[in-house]
Amino acid sequence: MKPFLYFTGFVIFLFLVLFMPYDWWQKPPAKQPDKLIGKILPFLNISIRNILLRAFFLGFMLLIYLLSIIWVPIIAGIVITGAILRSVYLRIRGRAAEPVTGLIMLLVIGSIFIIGIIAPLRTVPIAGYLLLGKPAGNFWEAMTVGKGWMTMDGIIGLCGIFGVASWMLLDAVWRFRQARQVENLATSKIGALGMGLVEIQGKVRPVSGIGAGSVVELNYSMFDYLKPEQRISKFMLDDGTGTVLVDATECRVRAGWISEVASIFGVREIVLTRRITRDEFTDGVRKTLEFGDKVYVIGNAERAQSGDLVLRPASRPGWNEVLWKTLFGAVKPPKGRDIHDAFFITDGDEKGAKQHILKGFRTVLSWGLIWIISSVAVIWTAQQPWRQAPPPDSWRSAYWRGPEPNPNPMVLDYTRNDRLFRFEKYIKTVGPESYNQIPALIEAMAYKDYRFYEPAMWALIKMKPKVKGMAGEVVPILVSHLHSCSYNAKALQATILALGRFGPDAEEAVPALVDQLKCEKTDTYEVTPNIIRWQAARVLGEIGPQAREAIPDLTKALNDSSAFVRDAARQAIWKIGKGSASEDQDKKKGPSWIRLPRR
Amino acid sequence: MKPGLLIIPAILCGLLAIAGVGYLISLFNSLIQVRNNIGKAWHNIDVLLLQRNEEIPKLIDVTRAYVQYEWNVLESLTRLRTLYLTAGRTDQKTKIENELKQKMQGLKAVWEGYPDLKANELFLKLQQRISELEAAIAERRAFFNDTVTIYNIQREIFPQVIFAWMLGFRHHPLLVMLNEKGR
Repeated sequence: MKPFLYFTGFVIFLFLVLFMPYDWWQKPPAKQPDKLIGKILPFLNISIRNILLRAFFLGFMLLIYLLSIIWVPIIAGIVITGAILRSVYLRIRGRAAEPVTGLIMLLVIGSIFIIGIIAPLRTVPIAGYLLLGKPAGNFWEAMTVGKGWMTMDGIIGLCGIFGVASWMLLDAVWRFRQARQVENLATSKIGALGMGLVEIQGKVRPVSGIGAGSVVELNYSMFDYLKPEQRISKFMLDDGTGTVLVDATECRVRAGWISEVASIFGVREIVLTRRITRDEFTDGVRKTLEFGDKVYVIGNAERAQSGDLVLRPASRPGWNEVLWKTLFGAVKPPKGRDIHDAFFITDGDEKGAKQHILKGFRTVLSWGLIWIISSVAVIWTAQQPWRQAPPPDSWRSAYWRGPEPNPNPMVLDYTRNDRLFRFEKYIKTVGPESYNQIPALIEAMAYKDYRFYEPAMWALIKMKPKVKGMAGEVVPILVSHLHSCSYNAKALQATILALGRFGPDAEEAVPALVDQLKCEKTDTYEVTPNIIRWQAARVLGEIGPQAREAIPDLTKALNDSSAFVRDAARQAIWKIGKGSASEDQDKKKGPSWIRLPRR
Repeated sequence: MKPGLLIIPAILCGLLAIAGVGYLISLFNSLIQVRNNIGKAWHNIDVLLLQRNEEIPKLIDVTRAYVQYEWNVLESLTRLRTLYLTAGRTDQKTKIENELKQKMQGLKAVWEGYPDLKANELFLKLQQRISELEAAIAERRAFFNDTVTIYNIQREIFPQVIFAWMLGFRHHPLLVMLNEKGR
C-alpha cells in the first residue's frame, strides 16, 4: 500500500509542477521586481516551478545514477584489466602499447575514486539515523549500524578525502591558475601573434564563406541536467590586425553548477552569457555563440600541420599519462607546448572572463570542501561506539520503527522477530539489581505479545524491593494481562505471581484474580488449572483485607477438588480476615475470629 | 578530547596549511610567469629588431658619404648596435633599443640637412625597409609593453613585492615609441 501511495504522491507532484499555470511567479523575478518572489528572494533568478522541476528531475537522475553506480567499478575493472592484458600482449609482440604501470595505477586510483564518490551519499543515512534518534529496525539502521559498515565507512571516508576531494581541489587549483593567466597575459594582436599561451580578443568569423547561425551551441532541459548537449565548430577570430583559426572542439560549454560537478575535470571551458534563451515550460536552456560576436580567448597558439596559425588547447598525451602526471607531478611538457595548458573562451571581456573562471573555481572548491567535510564526518562516525551495534534497548518503542509485535506467534513476521531477538538478547542482561531497567521492563510488560511481557515479568519479580513502590504504574499493566487461563497459562501464571509481589497495593487486581479462581482448563500441562487457581487464591491472600470482596469466591474455593487450592483459599481467607480483624479490632477495640469451614 | 575527534581539527589545520602554502606558491609562480612572459614577448619583437639593426650599418654607410660634421651620431649608432648584439638581459636590450631609437631620431634630423642624400635611391630603399620594419615592431611593441606593465605591477604590489625583493626582480623599462622621445 505504501509504495502505491508514494508513487501516487510523486505523480501528483509531477503533474502539479508540469502543468502549473503560467503566472507572475513563474517568470524570473529579475523581470518582475515588484512581485512577491522578487521581494522575498531578489537573488533568485529562476521561477519556483523550475526550481521544483530541477529538483525533481535531478533527484530522479541521481537515483538512476546511484542504482547504476554499483556496476561502474565492475565494468571499469573489466575494461582496464582488458587494457592491461592488451598492453602486455602488445609489448610481448614488441609493439607500442600503453604503459602497464600507468594502467595498473589507473585501476587502483579509479577504484579509490569510485569508492570516494560515495562519501557524501553515506552521510545521508548516517545523518538521518542520528536526526531520527537512532531508529531501530528499519532502513536507517540497516544502512548505518554494524561493524561491517564501520570498516567500509572508514575506507569510503579515506577514499573520499584522498580520491575525490583531492581531485576536486586539484581541479580548483587548475582553475585558479587559469584565472591567473587572465591577469598575467597581455592581450596579443593576431597580426603579431607569438607562439604558446596567448590572450586574444576579437570577433567570430566563419572559417570560409559567409557564416550563418551559431558556432557554439549548448542545449539542456529537464532530462539532461547532468549531460547537456553541445555542438562546437571551428571558427576564425578577427581582431582587426589579422585572423586566427580557433579550434575549441574538444572543450566543454559550461551549463551551470550541476554539469560543473558532473564533469569536474574540465578546465577547457567555454562560458556563454550573451545569447541565452530559456523555455520556461521544459526548463530548457539554449546558449549560443554566433558569427560577429565578440569573444575573449586564452589558448595555445601553434602552427597546424598545414602551416596555418591555430589557437587550441595545448596537445596532451594519452589520458592515463595525464592522470599519472597530474598525480605524481607534471613532467617536462612536450616541446613547443605551454605547461600551463589553459584554454578558455567567453563571449564577454577580460574582466568577465576572470569572473567566470573564478565562479567555476568557487563551485569546484565548494564541492571539494563538501566532499572533505562529508568524508571526515563519515570517518568520525565510523569511530563511534554506537556504530558497532544497535543500542541494547533498541527493541523499545523509542527506537523501533518496525511493526508492532503481533501477539499471535503463528503470524510470521521477520521484522518483528528481529525485534523479539533483540529483546531476548536484552533480557539476558537484566539482573535482580538492574533497577534502571525497570522502565524498559514495564514497557515490555505492556506489549500484548507474551514473549515480551512474560520474561519482563519474571525479571521484575526478581526486583521485588524496588518494584514494590511502583505499583501504581505496574499493576494496571499486569491486570491487563490477566486473560482467560485457556490461553497461554504460563504467561498468566507469571502475571499472577508478579501481582503477588505488590501485596496490598495490587488491590486493583482483585476482580481479575477472582475470575482466575474459576479456571478450569489451560493450554499446557506444565501449568494446570489447579496451579492457576492455587496461585490466584494465594495472591488474593497476599493482597489481604483489600481483597475482602473475594471472600465469597474464596469460600467456594474451600470446596475445590485440589487440596492446594483449598489450603490456599483457607489461608487467604485467614489473611484477609486477620487483616479485617485487626482493622475491626482497631475500630471496636476488641479481637474477632473467623471460623473457616472444613471439608 | 577523544583521539577520534582530533582527526577533524587535524584535517582542517592540514587543509589551511596546504591552502596557505599553495597560495604562496601561486604568487611565486605568478611572478616567475610574468617575468618569463617578458622574455616571450621580447622574442616576438626581437626578430624584427634584429632585422632592422641589420639595416643600420648599410644606412650609416650611405649616410657617411654625404654628411660632413655629424660623425658622432653615426658612431653612437654603430656602438649601440654592437651593444645590442652583446646584451644578455631583456631590460638591457630594451634600454639600448630606446637609446638607439633616440639616435635614429637624431639621424633623421641629420638627413634633413642633406637634400642630396634624401634623393639617393639606395638611401630611400633602406629608409623604406626600416620604416616597414618599424611599423611591424610598433604592432608588437604594444603587446610587449603591456606584458612589461603587468610584470612591473606584479612586482610592486603586496605581497608579491616580498618575493620580488627576495628574488631581486628589478623594474623593467618599457619600449618607447619612435616619436615619443628625442623630440
